Amino acid sequence: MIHWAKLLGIWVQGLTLGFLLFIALIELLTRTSGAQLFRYQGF
Amino acid sequence: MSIEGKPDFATVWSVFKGAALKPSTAALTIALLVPSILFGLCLAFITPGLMASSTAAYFSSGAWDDYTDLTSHALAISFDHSDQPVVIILGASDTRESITNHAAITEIVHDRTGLRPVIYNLASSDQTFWEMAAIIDQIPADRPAVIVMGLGAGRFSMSPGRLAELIDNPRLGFRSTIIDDEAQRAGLVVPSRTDNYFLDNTEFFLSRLPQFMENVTTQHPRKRRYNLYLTSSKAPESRWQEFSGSIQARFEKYQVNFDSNMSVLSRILGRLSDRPEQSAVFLVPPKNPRDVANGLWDEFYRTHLARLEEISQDYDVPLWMLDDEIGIKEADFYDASHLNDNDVQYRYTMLLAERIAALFASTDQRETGS
Repeated sequence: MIHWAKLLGIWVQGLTLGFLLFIALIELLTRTSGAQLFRYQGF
Repeated sequence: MSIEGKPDFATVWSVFKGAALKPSTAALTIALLVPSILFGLCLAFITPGLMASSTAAYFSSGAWDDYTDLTSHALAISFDHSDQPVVIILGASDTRESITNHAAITEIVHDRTGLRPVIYNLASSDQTFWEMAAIIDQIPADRPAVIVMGLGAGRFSMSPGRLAELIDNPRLGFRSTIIDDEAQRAGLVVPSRTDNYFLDNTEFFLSRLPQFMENVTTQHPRKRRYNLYLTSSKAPESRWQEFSGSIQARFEKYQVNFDSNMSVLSRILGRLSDRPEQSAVFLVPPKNPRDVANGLWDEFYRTHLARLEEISQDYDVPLWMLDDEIGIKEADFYDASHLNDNDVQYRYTMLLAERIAALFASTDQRETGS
């Protein structure tokens, strides 16, 4: 039980940080590349 | 610890908390693996084939997102090497809003000619000639096609600077050698291409990633709508005033930028002339007959029509103006150029279908006669 609790803790930390890292990476790339959705209406 | 050697909840919780909060090499490894795997999955699975399928709708941000749907259709066309004719409708939102029933166009053409073309309404918000060229380039060269180009005055008002914007922040989810060539011709720096679809279109996908995550989570891909102005409401007077006040500037922009846009259009027509199976048509999008800016809007429109007639003759491309035949009225519009009456949209579509059918029939006759 102790073993599984430790393993679960490591995975929770790893996955949380991993997803946060991925989102931060995407956010950084999006901002630096200036990517944005064009939503304006045409003439 | 409990009496029988089985750990109690408090102990298990403290071990879990310790492992979850204390930095460890194992957790760091997982943290680095997660983004790497996700990124790798994007590289491997986000392909033109995926975007040509209905899965593309997961990247859509909703009814107003013309370009995800357009990308998907354009890529699907590029993969389809059948000899079934296609009708590709290009142009801006004024053209998009005018057409309402694709199936009825197919039926009319079938009824008149025996052909059953697939209709794609690929008109989109503020579409540029560069984007039109990129879409046309996706059509296999030997596939019979009628390309209807909605040519409102705004198409010729585009500043040449828009090309740089499209290179930096493309709206289409595919790279086009035509746009790259146009950029090089304009002296712009074209980013190097990697031949990996996801990497080459990163801006397109990054801008849609939050929407993608939401759509995947809710399992509710968003649908683009074609007739967005189809509501009972009309544009507020403030919008008319704003429009009226901008006519002079729009007219000047049109005069200044006409030649540069015309040169892009002439290159599109030049490429099409090498494709005997495909023909282009100019369509004048509907115009609200309301008098705006003391007749200046009308003068702008007449100038534009005269120029379109010249281009039509110079390049031997039919020019279709349907407004008078439909009997378009002020009440049929949301604003200056967007139809929002379903009955009028339907009549417009039917008349367009008749013209397309006649064009297919004449092409067929020419081929039979030659």
